[in-house]
Amino acid sequence: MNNFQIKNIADGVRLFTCQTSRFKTNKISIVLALPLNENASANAILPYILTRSCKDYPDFTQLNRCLADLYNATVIRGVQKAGDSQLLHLGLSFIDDRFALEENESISANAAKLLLQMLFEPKFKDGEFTQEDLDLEKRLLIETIRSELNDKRIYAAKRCLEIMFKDDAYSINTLGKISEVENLTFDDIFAAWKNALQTATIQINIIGNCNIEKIEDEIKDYFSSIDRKPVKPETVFSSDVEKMSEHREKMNLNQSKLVIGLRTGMKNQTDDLAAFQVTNALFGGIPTSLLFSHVREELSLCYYCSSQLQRGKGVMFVQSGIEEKHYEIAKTEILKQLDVLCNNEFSDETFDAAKKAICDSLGGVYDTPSSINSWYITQVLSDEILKPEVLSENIRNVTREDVCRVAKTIVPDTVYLLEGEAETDEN
Amino acid sequence: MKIEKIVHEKLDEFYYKINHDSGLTIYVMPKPGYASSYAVFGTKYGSIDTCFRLEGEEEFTTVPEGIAHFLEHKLFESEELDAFQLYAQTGANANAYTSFDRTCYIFACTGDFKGSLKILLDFVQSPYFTQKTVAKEQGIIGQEIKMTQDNPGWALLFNLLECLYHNHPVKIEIAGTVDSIAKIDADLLYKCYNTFYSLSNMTLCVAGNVSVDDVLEIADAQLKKSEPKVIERTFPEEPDEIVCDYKEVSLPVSSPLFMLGFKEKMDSTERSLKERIAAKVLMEILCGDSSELYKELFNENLINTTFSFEYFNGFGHSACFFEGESNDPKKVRDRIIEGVRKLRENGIDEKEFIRVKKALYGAMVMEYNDVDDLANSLAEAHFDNIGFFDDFKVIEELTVEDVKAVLDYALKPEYCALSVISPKE
Repeated sequence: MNNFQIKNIADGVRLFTCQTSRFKTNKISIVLALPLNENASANAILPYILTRSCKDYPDFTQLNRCLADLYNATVIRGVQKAGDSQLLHLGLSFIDDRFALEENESISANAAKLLLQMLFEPKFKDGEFTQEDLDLEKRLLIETIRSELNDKRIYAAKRCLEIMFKDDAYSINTLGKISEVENLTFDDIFAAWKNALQTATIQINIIGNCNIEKIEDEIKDYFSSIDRKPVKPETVFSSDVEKMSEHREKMNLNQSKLVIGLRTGMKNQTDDLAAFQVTNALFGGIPTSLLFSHVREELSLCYYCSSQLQRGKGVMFVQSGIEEKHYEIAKTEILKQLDVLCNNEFSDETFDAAKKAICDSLGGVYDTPSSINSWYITQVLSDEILKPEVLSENIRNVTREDVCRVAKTIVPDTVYLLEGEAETDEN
Repeated sequence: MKIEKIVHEKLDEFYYKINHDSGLTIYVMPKPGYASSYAVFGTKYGSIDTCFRLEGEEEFTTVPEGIAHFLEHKLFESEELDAFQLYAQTGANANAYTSFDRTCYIFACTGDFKGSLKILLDFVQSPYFTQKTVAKEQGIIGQEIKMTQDNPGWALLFNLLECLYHNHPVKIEIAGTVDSIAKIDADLLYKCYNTFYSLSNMTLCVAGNVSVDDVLEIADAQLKKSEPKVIERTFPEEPDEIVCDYKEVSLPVSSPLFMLGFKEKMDSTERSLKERIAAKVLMEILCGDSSELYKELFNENLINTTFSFEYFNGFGHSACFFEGESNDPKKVRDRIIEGVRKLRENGIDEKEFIRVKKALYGAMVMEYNDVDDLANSLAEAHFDNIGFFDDFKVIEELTVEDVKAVLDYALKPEYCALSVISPKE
């Protein structure tokens, strides 16, 4: 049913394909992985610029009309942080030719051609980029960066991370920095594009019923004219914590947002992964987790209290929305649950539930083009691709002792409270 | 029991509609090749149902705002294990949501489907409310309300609804307020439960790695047959006019957020599927991302990529909404009103109309990838009393005249209000 292939098609360029007719759509997705460094701003603007116009469709209105004519072909664009690297995403999702309303309409071939033109033949390649184009893109990116303030949960998590990783590449905003974006020139962007095509570690995923071989040939063709010198970004994993630090910032909010950053002791992104995932689920990843059942259900302190493992950097974040006056009790209770893990004091039911929940969710990875895509594309920097069924097997083999062992290496590093100033004492 | 198979040849999809002896309508959409299944057990009961009676009852009951959502939280509990603890044994990922007009209990799983379905049908049919458990939930939901108060998008929407509606309960916050939920007690919860959780007011929709036999095996054993109940809802009269045309509040946001709404005069209680699809086409032609107006607004730095629109409608209300981020929301409003005037004057371009229709058809096809979307949409279609594939027929047959007909009653500048969240200094 799933006809998978993974192969290298150019130096540092990997192609993942999944030929299947069970979806209504095809998805072609490209990721370029670069080190997260002082070039972050110029890199960050690329996926947006590249997907807003191209040689044949020189402005976004013409491009959007073309996408609508391709039955609402949908652009994937964005940047993501994975450890100390910056992932630039671009891609297209479009319905399969079988569902076109007219005979012999070739949606797939046209969509693939369009996407490759976006990446390899941007409007600025031949110097046709105008000052207006550049100003528009800079404005849009700056507004996106500024709007990170709007979602307070995300904002609080971001602030905690920045404090915890001060002086570390991991603290660099993957969308770039406003002052740097403001100063970006046409030359900076051209150089960033050239550099990305030459040096990024690249993965391309093609999922669906389209003519994969033909698209593969077209991709190879484009890469044959590029002098590839791939550089693989590296991530520093550190488990050193001198002393847990606590920080507060104030904002006009109805509810305070608590974030606790912990270092897990993972030495790389696959180090004891199954044991860490089970531990995270048990701690705060599922509705019967220790955090949910104690901080929410037993103490009635919050609506949400959960933990998240970021394997790319070997860190974990706990997040909760609380009343400021409950800060000490919530923090103490959360850290106490970490001791429960270390001391092997959790129930068999919760332990089994954690494993079952992860395995059940891994079983569904192949059920949407998006989940297949994100599973494989985020492994762009892994030499060996981990399949969901393999991780599932590893999860099943995790023991209570494994959980205690890895829990003991998890150390709280930074406690951050975004304190609500508008809180009223109603409860 | 009646089982009907409905097929869409071109789309290569089918589903079964089952009128179960218990009084419940069940939909099953098998998806070959999928490992996941997704189930929705829903009732046509949401935040707008604040005043009601059952046929035969003398008095209407008025209940505190937010009670449908509160009830959703409390159903997860029982005298022994709560539903999350039961699902923990099967590995299913369970949740629930309450909207303006429905409450749905859902799970996704790739493992023990029958075991998970049994849990779902069982806990939703087994209410257990006490004063103690109600009090505990008031703390948790109180925090949920405060969390949504910190969400600028939520404030934007409800401020707009307050501008548009004098009396319609759609303007009430779905979760209620800290004060209104303090008035909820176990008796009121039982009253609402016994009114709205009758199987004739509910549906079960399942999609994915499922078969009719599996679903019926569990449904036959778990569903408690109930006599159909006739629910009478009463809504206060809503004038055609809006309440006020502008509301602005300050919150910690980076730049002003706006939501613009055009209230519509209603001659019937609900918009038909054709009217709804025609309205979407109209909005897309007016300011979709391939339109001239969108291009102008974008190039004049009045909007960014957060700009979007929605046809917001339900029982007794309908409106066109536009939202986004802008340094000059009033100017955006004026330009949209101007765009509508030009559209009325110049008519609808046939080429644009065809392009938008094609794109909308593509978007409809795309929805058939995800089993969670499918199960939720099946429930929505059931509560709207339409066939699941009807939208394809409507879009294929839609004409420019249908869109013009919507333009006759929609997007009237005199019924337009603007909600703005401005950055706090």
